[in-house]
Amino acid sequence: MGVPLTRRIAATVPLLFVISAVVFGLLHLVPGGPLAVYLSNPDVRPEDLERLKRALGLDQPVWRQYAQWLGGFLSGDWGFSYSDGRPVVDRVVERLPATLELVAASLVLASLFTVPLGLVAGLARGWPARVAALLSFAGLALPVFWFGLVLQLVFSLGLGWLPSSGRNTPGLEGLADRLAHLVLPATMLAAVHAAAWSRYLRAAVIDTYALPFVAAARARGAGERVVIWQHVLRPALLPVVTIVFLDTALMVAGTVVTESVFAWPGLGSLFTEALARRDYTVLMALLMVASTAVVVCNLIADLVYPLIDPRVRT
Amino acid sequence: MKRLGVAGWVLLTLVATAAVAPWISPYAPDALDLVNRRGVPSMAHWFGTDDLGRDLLSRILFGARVSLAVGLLSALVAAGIGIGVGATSGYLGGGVDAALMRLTDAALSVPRLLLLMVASAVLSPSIPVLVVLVGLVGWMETARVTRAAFLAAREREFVLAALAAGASAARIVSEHLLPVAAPAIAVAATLAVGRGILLESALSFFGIGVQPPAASWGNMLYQAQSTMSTEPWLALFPGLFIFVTVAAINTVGDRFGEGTRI
Repeated sequence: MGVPLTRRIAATVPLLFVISAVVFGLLHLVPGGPLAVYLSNPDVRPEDLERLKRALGLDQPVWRQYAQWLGGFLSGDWGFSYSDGRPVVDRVVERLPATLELVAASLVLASLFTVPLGLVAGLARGWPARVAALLSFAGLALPVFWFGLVLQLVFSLGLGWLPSSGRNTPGLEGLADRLAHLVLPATMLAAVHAAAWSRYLRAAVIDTYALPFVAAARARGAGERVVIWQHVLRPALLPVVTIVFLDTALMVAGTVVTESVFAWPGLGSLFTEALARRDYTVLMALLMVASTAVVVCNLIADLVYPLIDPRVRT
Repeated sequence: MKRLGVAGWVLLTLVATAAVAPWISPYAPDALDLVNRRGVPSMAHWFGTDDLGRDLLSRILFGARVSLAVGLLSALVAAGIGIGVGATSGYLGGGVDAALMRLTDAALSVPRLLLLMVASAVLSPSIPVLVVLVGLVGWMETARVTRAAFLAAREREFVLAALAAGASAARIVSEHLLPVAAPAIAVAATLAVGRGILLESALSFFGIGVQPPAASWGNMLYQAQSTMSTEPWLALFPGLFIFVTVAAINTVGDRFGEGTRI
């Protein structure tokens, strides 16, 4: 396999340091800094503010604060939430399952949309191909939050088929209820990615279809169904799988919008809550989690590719 | 100029309408009509009215000015930074190139909507500052394509000839390398316009982008969200405009791409 795992990981670590420094700088160098919320609060006296600053280490130079934060972050001590005083790690961990559930469901949904859309757009003739290509093109221009509102409008408020918010009906714990709550947010999160992926798949399918081994398979007497599913789709899916890995991290970030529209109690809504209260420690942790997800997913895509595509192995 | 195509015409119409909005909009965007609050779409108010009786069509026309301007100008900012970074990287190569590309990778790894949300919540930006912020998170793609084009062109004979003739670095970049990279940059910059509009509308949708009473398509959706069950038209129309605009911009970008593929 190309580059050894250790060297790949070694290359991504400095990347994460750069990201964390940039984000930390942004949060701490802005006017007012982390305590800006208290400045407008008449109940907080100037001397209290000074005391808070000292207690939180905000009177130190920024580079020293960063060093302290980094040391803590690396050893699993992510600090305490500014809004409720609980450990940041706890707040993040308790929200994680909801977000993972949403992202997993969206991945499945997006994949289910991608294959037929890409195949039809790439191989069919006439209007079905056009409609499929148009759908994936439209998906890319969709303002996601608006799409969510429209889904809500049609399927919850209009038709009344599905619940419009939350992860389950209070008091109910059944699987059917959970799934019903999951459908709309997952569709919303999946739409843009399904659109992008099916465009990649379409291009790959068209390229693969023209290759000699496809003609050879047909010459051997393989039916069109076998040719498409086994000889065209399989190799065409390989590059798409890489994109799927890369985009999974973006999906995690995309939950901020989805969870806000559907009041889904995951990391995305934790982010909007933290933002509204200027909860810097939580924001910093979430931005790092999201960036790490991107870097790790990149790494996984690099590592997985040779496993699924023997041609890349050297 | 090549055939405009449907998307080109749609885009042109939108820009032209936004430009003359003060003269063609049926009402002032902030004119209150307390008798006709929450009005359904009608002949007098094509797109209905909002909770203060303001005409939605007029607000959409004026909002177009804000949304399109933020999209276009932020793409200019993004293209400026991207060309600067990409050109430096591709022309100098070596350690500078490695460092700048690491930086680009890092910038691409931070989810831009989240970073932008933090920045604009903290700074509560005016519209010009918002343009800069949206531009600041959108330069990476342009930097990459500029660098790639520069790297490929740097070794070509006409560049070597210019070098041998003693041309300065500034001259080689502006006269020989940039024109080669221009088509790729045009595609990246066009896509940045669409992305800028989507980012602005997302920020405004969270209430931290363009602030009322100024109308932008995004903040109209923000205000519409709470009354969606009773006045769905307030949410439908602004989003539809964002959707059509971005789709048209992406189509035009795609066409640039096809035209320049060698």
